[in-house]
Amino acid sequence: MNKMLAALILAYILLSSISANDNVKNNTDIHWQQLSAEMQILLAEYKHDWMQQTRSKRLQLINQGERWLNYSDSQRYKLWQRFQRWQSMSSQQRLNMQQSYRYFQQLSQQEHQKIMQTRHHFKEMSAEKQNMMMQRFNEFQQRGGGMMPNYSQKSMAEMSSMMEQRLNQPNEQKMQGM
Amino acid sequence: MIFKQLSKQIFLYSVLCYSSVSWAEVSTQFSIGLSQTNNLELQENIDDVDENNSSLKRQAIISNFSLSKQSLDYTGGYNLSAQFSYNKGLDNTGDIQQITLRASQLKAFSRYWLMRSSVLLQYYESEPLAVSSYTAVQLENTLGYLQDNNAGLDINIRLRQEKHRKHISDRYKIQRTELKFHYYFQHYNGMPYWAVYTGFIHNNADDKQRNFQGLNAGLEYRQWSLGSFNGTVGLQWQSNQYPSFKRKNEPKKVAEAPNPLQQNKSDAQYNMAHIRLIKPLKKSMDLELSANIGRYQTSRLSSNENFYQISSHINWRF
Repeated sequence: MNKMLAALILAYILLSSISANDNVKNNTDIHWQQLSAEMQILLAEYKHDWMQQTRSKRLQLINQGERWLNYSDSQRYKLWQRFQRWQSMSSQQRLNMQQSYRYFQQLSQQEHQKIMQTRHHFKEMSAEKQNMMMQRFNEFQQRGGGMMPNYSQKSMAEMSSMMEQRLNQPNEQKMQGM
Repeated sequence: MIFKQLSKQIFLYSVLCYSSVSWAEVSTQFSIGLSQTNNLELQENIDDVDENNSSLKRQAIISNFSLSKQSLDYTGGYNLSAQFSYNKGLDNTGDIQQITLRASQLKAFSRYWLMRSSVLLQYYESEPLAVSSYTAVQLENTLGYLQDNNAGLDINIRLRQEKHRKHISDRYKIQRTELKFHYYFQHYNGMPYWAVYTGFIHNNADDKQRNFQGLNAGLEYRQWSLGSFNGTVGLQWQSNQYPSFKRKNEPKKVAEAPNPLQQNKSDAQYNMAHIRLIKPLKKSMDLELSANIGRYQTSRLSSNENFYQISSHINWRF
């Protein structure tokens, strides 16, 4: 998939320069003939989209494409994985992420730095792992609530001496209080 | 076109990974219910009562209001809570009030180790047993280990100071230290699980007769389902060791042979069981039933004391 994407990017760049250089055109024709019919249709659609873009947008896309080509395989793989995760999200999840993104954009420089610092401690923790940590906190909080708070925390600890006194009382006196 | 979308989405996702998932919540809860208690002295924080109050049994209407705010992200956060409880005694047995303020800080050291540090202020006033009224301050720290399968261990240390000043003839201070280990067995989220715990208590009072050292252990079955009820059931054992002492209000015994048992250290033991069941009635309302029963034994006498508390509440969350 990764290679296919790189090939598509390369094809874009080649297609964009078809009119500029005949040699390139010839080479491109050779490559074009080697592609499957489906791929030719797909690329034809891309070319159609491409032709509708303004010059500045084309330049921007070419820059992005070149940047992509300059990435190492591991960087491309990581980005590709992120993209796939994004695609697997529901529309609601994407909306939440977009809201978080907007929230992030509104933060001050100082707050950005704070987030980056905390992020540093958790070495590229993904949103998935962050959610997992939140669940752990919830679990930690829930299990912290002992089921016998009245007894284990305070109430049952100190009564022995009093009860000893009571139990030492004559039985009649004890019964009066019952 | 697809390129633009792709790069935009990749960029968006990359940036999002730099932002944090955070969660803030304010929750309010109100509950009202009925309770019945016998041997209140055994279930209160006292060790000296008037003879006329012994084996105090009471029925009460209990209302409780609590407000809490929690803010968390994956590195930690804080929790602030305030709770007010009013226990209106029926049959002229007097009222009990309690106000608790707690602030906690939560922190994650790593994926597996979490910590909660809390400070708590408490005011407790009891009309039926004035000697049990107190103000308290408590510092608490819990280090929690959580495995991926939800098994884990809590190590809890608690320092508490209570000032008992309501009873004119009997004012004293208590410093209590508790160390507790709580182990939770593996379970899926929301599914039932077992937990065991053991703890050590050291109670130091300026009135020496209230000094003791205690050991406790317990077994719990949590998130348990019984029909449409969810709940917790558990057993607890506690043993306290008291140094020998002479009570300050005890009348002098003239020409009485010394009791060899009273000259040695004495101990007391509690065996207790607890059940709590919660049935959701609506999304923000549930019915809570709980019962505590226990037996008290002391080495001084062969007879035992039983005690219980049963209650039913309706809880509303806002």
